[in-house]
Amino acid sequence: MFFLGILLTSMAAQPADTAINLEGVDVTASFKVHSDMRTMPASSSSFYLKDIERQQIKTISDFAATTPNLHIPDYGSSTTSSIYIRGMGSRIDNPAVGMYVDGAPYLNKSSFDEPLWDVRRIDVLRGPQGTLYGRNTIGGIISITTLSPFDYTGTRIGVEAGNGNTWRASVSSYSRPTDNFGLSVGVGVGHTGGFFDNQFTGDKCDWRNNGSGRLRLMWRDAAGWNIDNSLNVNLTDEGGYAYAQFDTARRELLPVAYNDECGYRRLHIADGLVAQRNMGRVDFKNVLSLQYLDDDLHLDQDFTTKSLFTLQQTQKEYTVSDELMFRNADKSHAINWLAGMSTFFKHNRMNAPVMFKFDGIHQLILDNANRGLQTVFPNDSLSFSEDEFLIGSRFTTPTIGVGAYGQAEWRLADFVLTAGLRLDYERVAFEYANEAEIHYNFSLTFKDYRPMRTSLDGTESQSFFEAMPKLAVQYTVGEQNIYASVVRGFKSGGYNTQMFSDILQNQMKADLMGALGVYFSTGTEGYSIGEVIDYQPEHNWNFEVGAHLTAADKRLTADLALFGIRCTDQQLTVFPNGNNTGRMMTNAGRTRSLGAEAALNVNIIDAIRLSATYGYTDAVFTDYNNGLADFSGNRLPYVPQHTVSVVADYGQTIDGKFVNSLSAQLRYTGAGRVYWNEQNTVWQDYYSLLGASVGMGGSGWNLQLWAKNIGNQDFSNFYFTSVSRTFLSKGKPRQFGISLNLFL
Amino acid sequence: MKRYFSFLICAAMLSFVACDKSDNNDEKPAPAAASALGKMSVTQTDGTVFTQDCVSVNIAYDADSATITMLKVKFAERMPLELDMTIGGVQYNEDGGSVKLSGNNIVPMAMGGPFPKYTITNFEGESNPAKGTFRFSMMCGENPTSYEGALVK
Repeated sequence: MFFLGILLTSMAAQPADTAINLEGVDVTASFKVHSDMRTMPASSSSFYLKDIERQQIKTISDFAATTPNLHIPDYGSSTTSSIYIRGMGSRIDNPAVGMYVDGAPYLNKSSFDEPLWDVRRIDVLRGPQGTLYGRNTIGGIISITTLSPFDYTGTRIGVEAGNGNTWRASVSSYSRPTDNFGLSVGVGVGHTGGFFDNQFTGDKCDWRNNGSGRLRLMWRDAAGWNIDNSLNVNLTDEGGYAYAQFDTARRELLPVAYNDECGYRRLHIADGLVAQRNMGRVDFKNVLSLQYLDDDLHLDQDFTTKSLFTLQQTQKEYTVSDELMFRNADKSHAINWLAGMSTFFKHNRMNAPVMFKFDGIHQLILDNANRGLQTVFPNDSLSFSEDEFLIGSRFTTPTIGVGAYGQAEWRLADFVLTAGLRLDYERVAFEYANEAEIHYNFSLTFKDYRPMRTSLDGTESQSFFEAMPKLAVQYTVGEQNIYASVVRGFKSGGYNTQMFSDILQNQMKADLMGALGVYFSTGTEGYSIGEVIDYQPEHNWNFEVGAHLTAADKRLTADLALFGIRCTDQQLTVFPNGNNTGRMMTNAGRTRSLGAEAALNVNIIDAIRLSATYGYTDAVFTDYNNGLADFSGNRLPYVPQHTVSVVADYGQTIDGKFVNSLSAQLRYTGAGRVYWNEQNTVWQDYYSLLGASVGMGGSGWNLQLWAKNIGNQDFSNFYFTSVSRTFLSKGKPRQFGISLNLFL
Repeated sequence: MKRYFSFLICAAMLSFVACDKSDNNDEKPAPAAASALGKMSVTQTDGTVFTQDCVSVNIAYDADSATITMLKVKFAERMPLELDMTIGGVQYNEDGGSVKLSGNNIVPMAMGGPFPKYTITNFEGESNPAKGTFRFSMMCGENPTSYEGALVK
């Protein structure tokens, strides 16, 4: 109602206007980097409003396909975003890629996947960005800049409908009540009925509802102040996951079929206050961010029609971060410098109870125990009085970090030398409390049910001190430049919360057998808590040479890069062997990633633009033995070897009475092969998707017909195992729809 | 009435003194608890003997009886699990420097309750702190079972 009130007031007060500056310099995003990133010694991709609308970029996974070596699988839920760049990625816990929205960092990747509307620009920096951005940017940076009232004034209305019972709508208004003050407010809502049937329930499992609001207040004055406050609120309520069991022997994907409810609800509120001012010879900028994340995930953890066990995971996270930056204002100097300090505090409280249900109690606990016992006592068995019981798990994880950095560019004739260093200190504490209680009997020796309570409580902490240097040399002639760079990045260590139900389950078995005075001579699958509870930081060095080439009066641009990444202690998600149910992060020894990237843009004529990108990544373990097997030489899971895109774009202004512009776009994207596990026994071959859109526009409106995955390509885009079963998530089938935008 | 109360007080004092005397004369301290580490041999139904090394045994005494607890024992090679088994109510008497143990028809405790299938008969044993030895033999169900161990200090 608050948003609606401001929106209506704003709409009533403002006359219709047109776009002012949709691809120009952006205050919030460009302090650390050049507004034209192609002038920097780095690999980057940028998308502007027109690309974003024509390519139907609605979520972060939509632009990944046209960015070389960027892979963001859309696995049907916004619970978390597994982003991979150049072989660097993360499935759980800390992200490998930093996300910024209007200059404010999003520290939790549970908040990465939010609907994109009225986005003015998206920048992707590939390769570690540790020197300027610090922790968890080991793969790169994604920076999203929304439309601001200083770029555009007027009201935008967007409606869209598509198959899968999908519709979206957004209304936003941008106004400048005074020359100094800008205000924008908008709301967006969306729904999809889903594309995949859960055969057990007969319903679609991947339905989704979301709503979001944005309020942006900006102030600019003659004294040099630029103040920008952006408040984003996002709500999502989703169904479950299209996880289908994969028959590894026959290499056949079975239908999606599970019995327990799955879903995800999230409220994310993020406020970023950016204050920037020119103070004569020095520019100053401060970014203060406050965020609140409140989500609730519930899973049929076994994803079968049996009632084995379910997980509910709720978390409440409060984050405050601040970054203070200074740089020299006059860029005509031979030496330009940038320095900054940053700090953050994040407090996460998670409650993650696992409910063991009837089949789970029997299949995962009692059957194992009785199989051993009945070899000696064939007529007797262990049993529980409960048909289901809860393993309670609560975690509190406060994290604090501080960092200081500096970077200087020294221009020497046609050369620019860049040197930088960042020092980060981080401390993470971890408090855990887990408990379960059951009542058991053993028919041979006692008939009554005796209580047994197992608990596991404790606190841990770890600290990291990291140095992230950067060295680059760039040679520029006219609009061409070539560069070489060396950069170090790091990803924080942390704690394996997702292992605790497994740990406690094994502890219960041990306690139960201990209470009975029984010890299996074959040993039990247990954990050493000290070995699985934490994981250490990941480090990498990125060595890169590249070129940014421009020709034919800027009608032709080419960006090329060759890179080599050496990574030590790479964090990888592994699934413990046997009838275990958790997954854990482990430091996988050493890996290396070699690859190449190319992006070509050709404006053949004014109306036709051709874009092509190609990324190649050869990422392998150079030293990884998990104690059970040696994976050295195997390819890193979740990393596509090839990423390809070709986009042909047509846009023509015509002199029509009602219609005055026509557009069309054809997109080819491909990715693969992707290995899903460390053994490299399950994989997705290279697959390609075809997308297209045609549109027309007039005064204050445009209309688009669009389609994605036109060939209805069958492919999988996510993998996991549970209780010795392999599951894959299929990519979305053919999608098509119509979008109408009105500009008032 | 006053005379009656005086009688009760005197009787109570006498009985207290009598009890005290009785305790001093009749009760002797139980032997100290001990632990042993040794080899257990179980004769199988086919006549072969299964032996298990490094079996820990705890011996606890109260005023009337001893309790023998065997930790992580197996009774056959193919038995996939080990058990803690407790034999309570074992009679004992001190003979010079050693403790003689005996018992019959004792239902051992294992797996949280009584274990009649392995009822103990003909239990006979000795703990000799001077020699540092502990041994026993018994019928465990239908299996002749013996143990030879060294007391652990």
